[in-house]
Amino acid sequence: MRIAPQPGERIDRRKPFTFEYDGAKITGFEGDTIGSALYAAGRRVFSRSFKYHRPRGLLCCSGDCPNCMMTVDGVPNVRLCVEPVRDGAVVRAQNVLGSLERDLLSVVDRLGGPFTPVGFYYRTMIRPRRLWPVYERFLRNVAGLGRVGGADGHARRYDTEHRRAEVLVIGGGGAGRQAAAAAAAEGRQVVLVDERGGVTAGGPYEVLAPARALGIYEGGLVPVDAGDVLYRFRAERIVVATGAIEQPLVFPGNDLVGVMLPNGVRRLASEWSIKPGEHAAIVSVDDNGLEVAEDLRRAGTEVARVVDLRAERPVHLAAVGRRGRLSRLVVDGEAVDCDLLVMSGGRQPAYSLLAQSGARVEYDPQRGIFVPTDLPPGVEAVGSAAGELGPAAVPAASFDGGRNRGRSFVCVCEDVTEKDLKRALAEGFDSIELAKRYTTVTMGPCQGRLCHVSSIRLLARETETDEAAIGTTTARPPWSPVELGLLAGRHYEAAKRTPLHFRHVEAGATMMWTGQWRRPFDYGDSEAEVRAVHESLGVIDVSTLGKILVEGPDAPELLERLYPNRFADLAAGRIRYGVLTTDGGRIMDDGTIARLGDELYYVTTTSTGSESVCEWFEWWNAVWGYDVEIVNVTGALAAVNLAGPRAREALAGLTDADVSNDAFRYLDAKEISVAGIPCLGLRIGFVGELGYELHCPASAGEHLWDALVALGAVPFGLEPQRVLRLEKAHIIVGQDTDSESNLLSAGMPWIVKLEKEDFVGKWAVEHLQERGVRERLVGFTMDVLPPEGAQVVRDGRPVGRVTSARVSERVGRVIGLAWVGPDRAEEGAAISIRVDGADHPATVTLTPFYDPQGELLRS
Amino acid sequence: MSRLSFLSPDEADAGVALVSPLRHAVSEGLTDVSALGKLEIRGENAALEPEPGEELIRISDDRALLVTDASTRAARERLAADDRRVYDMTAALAAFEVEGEELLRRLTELDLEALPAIGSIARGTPALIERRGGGERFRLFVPQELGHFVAEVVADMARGLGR
Repeated sequence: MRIAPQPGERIDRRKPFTFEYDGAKITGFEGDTIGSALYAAGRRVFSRSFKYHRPRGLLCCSGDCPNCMMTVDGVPNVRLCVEPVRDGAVVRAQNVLGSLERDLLSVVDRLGGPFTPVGFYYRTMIRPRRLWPVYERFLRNVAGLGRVGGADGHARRYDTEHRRAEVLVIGGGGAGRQAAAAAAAEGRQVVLVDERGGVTAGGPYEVLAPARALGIYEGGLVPVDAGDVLYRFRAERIVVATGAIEQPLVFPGNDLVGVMLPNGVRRLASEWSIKPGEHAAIVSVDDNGLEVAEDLRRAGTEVARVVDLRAERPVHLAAVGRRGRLSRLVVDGEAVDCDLLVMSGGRQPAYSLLAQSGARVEYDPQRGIFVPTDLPPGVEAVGSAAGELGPAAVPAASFDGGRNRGRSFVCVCEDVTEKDLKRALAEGFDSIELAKRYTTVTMGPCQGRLCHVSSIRLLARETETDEAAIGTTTARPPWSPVELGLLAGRHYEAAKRTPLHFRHVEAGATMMWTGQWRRPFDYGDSEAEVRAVHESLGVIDVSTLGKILVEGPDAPELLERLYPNRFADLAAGRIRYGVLTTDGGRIMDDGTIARLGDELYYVTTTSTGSESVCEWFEWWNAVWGYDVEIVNVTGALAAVNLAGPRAREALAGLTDADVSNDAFRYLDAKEISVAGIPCLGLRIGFVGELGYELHCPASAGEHLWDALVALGAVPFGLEPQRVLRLEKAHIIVGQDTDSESNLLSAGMPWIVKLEKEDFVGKWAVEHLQERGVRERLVGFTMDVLPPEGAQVVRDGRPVGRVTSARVSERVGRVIGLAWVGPDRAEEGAAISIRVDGADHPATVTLTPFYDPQGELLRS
Repeated sequence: MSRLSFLSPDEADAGVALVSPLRHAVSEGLTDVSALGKLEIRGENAALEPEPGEELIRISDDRALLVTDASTRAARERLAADDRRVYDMTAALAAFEVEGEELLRRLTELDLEALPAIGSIARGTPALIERRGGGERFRLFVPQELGHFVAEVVADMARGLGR
């Protein structure tokens, strides 16, 4: 119930908001959080603990601890104590079977204790192994936090924004605001990030609130979680004003509902005007805890007992409860009835972000806290985060409960008790990093905010050393829990579209991915498209081919040294096939190279190879110090291949240029105008019929395509092209070759000109020639269609594999390419290929299946 | 030597319909200026000055992009006479203009105070970005094959900003 307005009240009672909690309507006011509204409505149990399903209530009211996490509007693990109220929100408890008040799984707490010590699942549930999946499913259901709903994650939109700040202040407390104002007064561009949203905007600096800095990365990168937007800040100066975090005390019953930290109580009583309890007790090492007494009295709560640990040193201390709720505090045998216990174990500088940025953290034994030192350049700490804190006594690592033997929790997130940590130590996990991994202390949602210091203190006492010797664990981002969707941001899949893309779509093509490119698989009838090329005229969009201009006085020399075959002696206007190999002689990419002038070459690459080939060229150009420009013009040009017996006649109809077989020979390159468009014409063919490749400005591509189609050219897709090229036994780099393939094994020894002084990969080819190759790529024919990747077998053992196979109507059989042992690489050799478990005979062929002499291409 | 006329759309006959790589793209929020002429100039460019109707964007000491309002032909001839290595990238680059720094901040990590610059937008698409005028108008040049994709991303970003 609300009490009369308090001096620090932050709610506006004229503005009510109503939300739904487990079926009931709850009303709060503007300024309330869902957590405070529920507390005002009399709710005390806010969650069930991770492992034991113990009831847990509000503890910090500052968004630090896991105790108030529920599912709000389908989003799991929302900390209600900092989630503003809003109309219509649907709030549900999580990790319970039944309700928060009656959770059937709490049986784990009553019965499971002796059977579920730390790390029990490593030991007791590993045998028999096959049952592990069953155990695992059970454990996952019993333990844990909220569940991610199936479709809920997709309903929300997350954006990423790149920001810059001269000064980024993290934390909107007094010290942070002061630092921000000072920097702004110096004329700096300042952004202040505040978790709580209590700082008002509109001042001399920008305020982002509520928003959380997740980490400090190299180069001053600070990701900031602002709910629906992740800001990636690059800051010249970072001021960390994250304040200090109130620490709990370790004693039996310290997790009971009603045991709270000072700020939690202060906020309930003074900011939200709620009577936190009827009878309260306070146990504190500092004034911070004691001062709450004043807030409590104002709110009408009786303060029954105050234990100032600077003055008193009780031997026994315990909280005792009924059904998980606090009922009394017992100090050295003296019991006090209370439903609220304020515990204060001192305040610890929130140094995590500083440690991430590279600062050292040192233990101050006088004050019992870890203080950041040696800050890296560009990073500052101010206020409590820097260790500017009032005096406090150093609390005992834990209190003995005397006759009251409840569990003492070190970590409420992961339900790690004092006993668990001691057990880990006894088993030899005696460094803080090992104990952390074994018990998962500090690894829960609070990320060590409430358990880091306690666990170090306990380890120090148990190993009879000091906290400095134990040291801290490595601080890693994220410092605050963050939704994975926010880190992922928008999902975009980059698609490259050729200049003819929409012509294909309009023609009803089935589009497919090849790398980043979208390409037509076919236009509905692959076989008919193959037939059109053989019998009449086809046209295919080959704009995806990489296209590179290589120009300069050293261009011939550069290509001569890059390729295993010759390019310096290539005549202007002529074309030659080339294969690029790595230093180790492995096949990297292939394509055609046309010489357009003394110092100018036009190189084509595979569809996926243009960028890597360009980089390869530029690298060697720099290494050899040549005067050559390498220009990637892939996107500048649309390219089509016009192929079929009617190709010449069709081309002649669209150009004034002489395209007769004498004037435009096989492997000629010519700049001609086609359909009014300037084109580079290349007389080459990946498919086995007479063909011309026409390269023209991308923006004129549709015009050229339309002109060719109007002359009767049948568009054909990638699938028919694959049949047509296989008939010619043309390899596809990456399909028929892999990262081990070389020119000798791939059956292209004619490309290698070993008499050249040098070329990339020459030593490797020489070496291979001496040693011989282990495999050979050969053609084969057979009567059934093997899947690509099918095994070539001999005596039942695999000795090779099929890389490509298609039914060729033209050849009248199944044709394909396969890797076989070198002894099988003979014309007519018999091999076996396994298809669906049965071995089928196949015959090796070393020449193209169709037009082996290439007469059609030259005709 | 080759004039590389096959790189230049303005070498086509008058009757040839040239089309923009963004013609099918979502047009809300962006203005297609792909028709601008674009010449890539290789080699030392310190002494180079643009003529009226041209804009010179120096990418590095020996790489520059000359953007022309109309055909690139005059600039190509002038620079070729000057013995410069010039490549017509008019058709290679889609170009568009958008409004708003916030939108840009969601597209790129580049420092908007240090434009023009080349960086990546929309998960790895290379882009040359410059400011237009004194306000929040930006012009972006991207590979034409990714133009449609980038336009989709820009439209999506604009939706995210509630436009």
